[in-house]
Amino acid sequence: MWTIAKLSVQEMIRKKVFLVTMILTGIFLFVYGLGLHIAFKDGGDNLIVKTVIFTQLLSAGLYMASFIVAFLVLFTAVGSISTELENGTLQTIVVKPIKRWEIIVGKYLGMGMVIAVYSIFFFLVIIALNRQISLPALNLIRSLGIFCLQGLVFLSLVLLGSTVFTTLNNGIIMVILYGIGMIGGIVEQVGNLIGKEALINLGIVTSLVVPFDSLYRKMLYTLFSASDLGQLNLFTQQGPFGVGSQPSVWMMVYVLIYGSLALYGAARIFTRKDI
Amino acid sequence: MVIETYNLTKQYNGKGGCKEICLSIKERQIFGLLGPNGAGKSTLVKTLVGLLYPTSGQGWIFGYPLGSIEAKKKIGYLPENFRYYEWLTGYDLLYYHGCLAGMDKDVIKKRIPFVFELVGLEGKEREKVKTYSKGMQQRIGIGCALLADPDLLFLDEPTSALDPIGRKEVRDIILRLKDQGKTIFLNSHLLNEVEMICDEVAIINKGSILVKGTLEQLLAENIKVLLRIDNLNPTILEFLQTVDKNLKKNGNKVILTIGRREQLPWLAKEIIQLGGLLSELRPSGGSLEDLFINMVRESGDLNVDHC
Ligand SMILES: Nc1ncnc2c1ncn2[C@@H]1O[C@H](COP(=O)(O)OP(=O)(O)O)[C@@H](O)[C@H]1O
Ligand SMILES: [Mg+2]
Repeated sequence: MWTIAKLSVQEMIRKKVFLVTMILTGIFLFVYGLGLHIAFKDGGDNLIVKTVIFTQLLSAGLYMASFIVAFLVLFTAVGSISTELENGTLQTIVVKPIKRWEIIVGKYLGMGMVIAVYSIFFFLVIIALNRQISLPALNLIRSLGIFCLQGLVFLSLVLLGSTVFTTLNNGIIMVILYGIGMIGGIVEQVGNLIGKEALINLGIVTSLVVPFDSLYRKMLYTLFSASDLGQLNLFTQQGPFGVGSQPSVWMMVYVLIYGSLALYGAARIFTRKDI
Repeated sequence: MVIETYNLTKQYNGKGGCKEICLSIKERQIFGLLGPNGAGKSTLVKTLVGLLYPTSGQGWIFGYPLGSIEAKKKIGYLPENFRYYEWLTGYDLLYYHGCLAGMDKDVIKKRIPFVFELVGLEGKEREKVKTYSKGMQQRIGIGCALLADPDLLFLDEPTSALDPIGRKEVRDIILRLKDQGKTIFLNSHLLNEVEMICDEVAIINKGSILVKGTLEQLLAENIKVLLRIDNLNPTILEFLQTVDKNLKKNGNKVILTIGRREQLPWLAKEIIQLGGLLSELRPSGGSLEDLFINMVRESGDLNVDHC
């Protein structure tokens, strides 16, 4: 299992898409940092306006970061099983005296480790760029955890897809699912804003199917939730990246079960598969 | 028995694959599974190594059920369309396979140079697999298969993609492995290759095994005989038809198949006793090729081997 994890780390890092993602991440962070710098300099003296602007910019940064992490997950995991089935590299692995689930879990651990490190790095840089907003350390750690969870749960879903579909189909399906999750989140925000129950319910249903947007909002809420930021809290509720309603603890429990079930399903399907 | 199967069947949605395979293969020999393309050779091997799940029937390797960890510990496998992580060096590839086989790190490090020597790739350890030639890739594939020193090796068409020299090299490796006491299960559609190195052979076509036995047995059986009888008359023909009812007659020439080489003198004696002027009796060499082509051409349900 650890051998497979180690090899998937190596494989992931040597892929071109990884390098490209790193470079683009760099460019994104540079532009984002520059934007923040300019906004800070010319933001005027009104503290409240400034606070509003900064919470919005921080939320937007984390939103983009979640999105980029998801793309890295998609591109690294989309063919992790299906491509190797198609080109036959799995044949010599599966005949080794290991359980088939170890191959799935090994790959998950390997890719998950890289995704987690990348998520932590990305999150911390964005927070550092926004150092004008001082946030309690506990909040940071908690929301960092949830931020990592976004990529890790998506990873288990993409891995599951890779044991079922061809690489191309899996890619299409995962992009659509992720898109539905994003739209669902926005629909729910709008529903909250204009008080339409139906929209909120629609959002809740989509977030059960693809819970990544709830994770994002939980992460943001956790970040701003301390009592001494009461005022800040109010501002974070607004805008497209804001959190109007906080996903409950049960949503977190649900997401954990969701990710575990996806991984379990992948292992089970792979165990019964003809290779 | 190294391999035993009982009515082992693997079909793809009720079609293709292999049907009701019954084999028992003894250790320390080279077993050749011979058949044309699409006969079901790869399907059978993949089922034996646990890549495919049988649709029905059973099989055991060293007494362990197919696909079990214990069975997998005993086997090495070279797939037909093998692909490895080409971005690894030859050394790293073997090292990685050793880890997956659960070998001790020190054991792997000791064993790798030995394997490189065995497959004739010394000096290529640090080069990437993708820079290897086809023949070298085939040999590193065999290296991966035998790194963990398995007692049983499955090689699926190990020479099909190679030139004559590459084929010879791979054959020599296989013979060396046999000398080391390994059992080798060789899939091939190359007759002469099987004829050259195999001890036991089974011929498979359309998913079913048609004949099996040691090479000597098979070659001694099913001999085609060409007879020229100058005064071929109905009496003689009638007699010959009792020997082989599917004989072919062309003028005063008759081609028939007999079961054993020992029947030849008897056949000549009988013809002469019937007053036949036997001017030619030519057994066709008892080659595997004849047997193979006869078997595959005539493969109706009658010929199929059952348990
Ligand atoms: N994955 C598959 N799905 C459907 N049919 C298959 C599959 N693999 C092989 N077959 C069919 O099973 C038969 C045997 O194939 P195979 O075992 O590859 O033969 P061989 O190795 O002797 O050339 C062929 O008719 C082939 O078309
Ligand atoms: Mg084949």
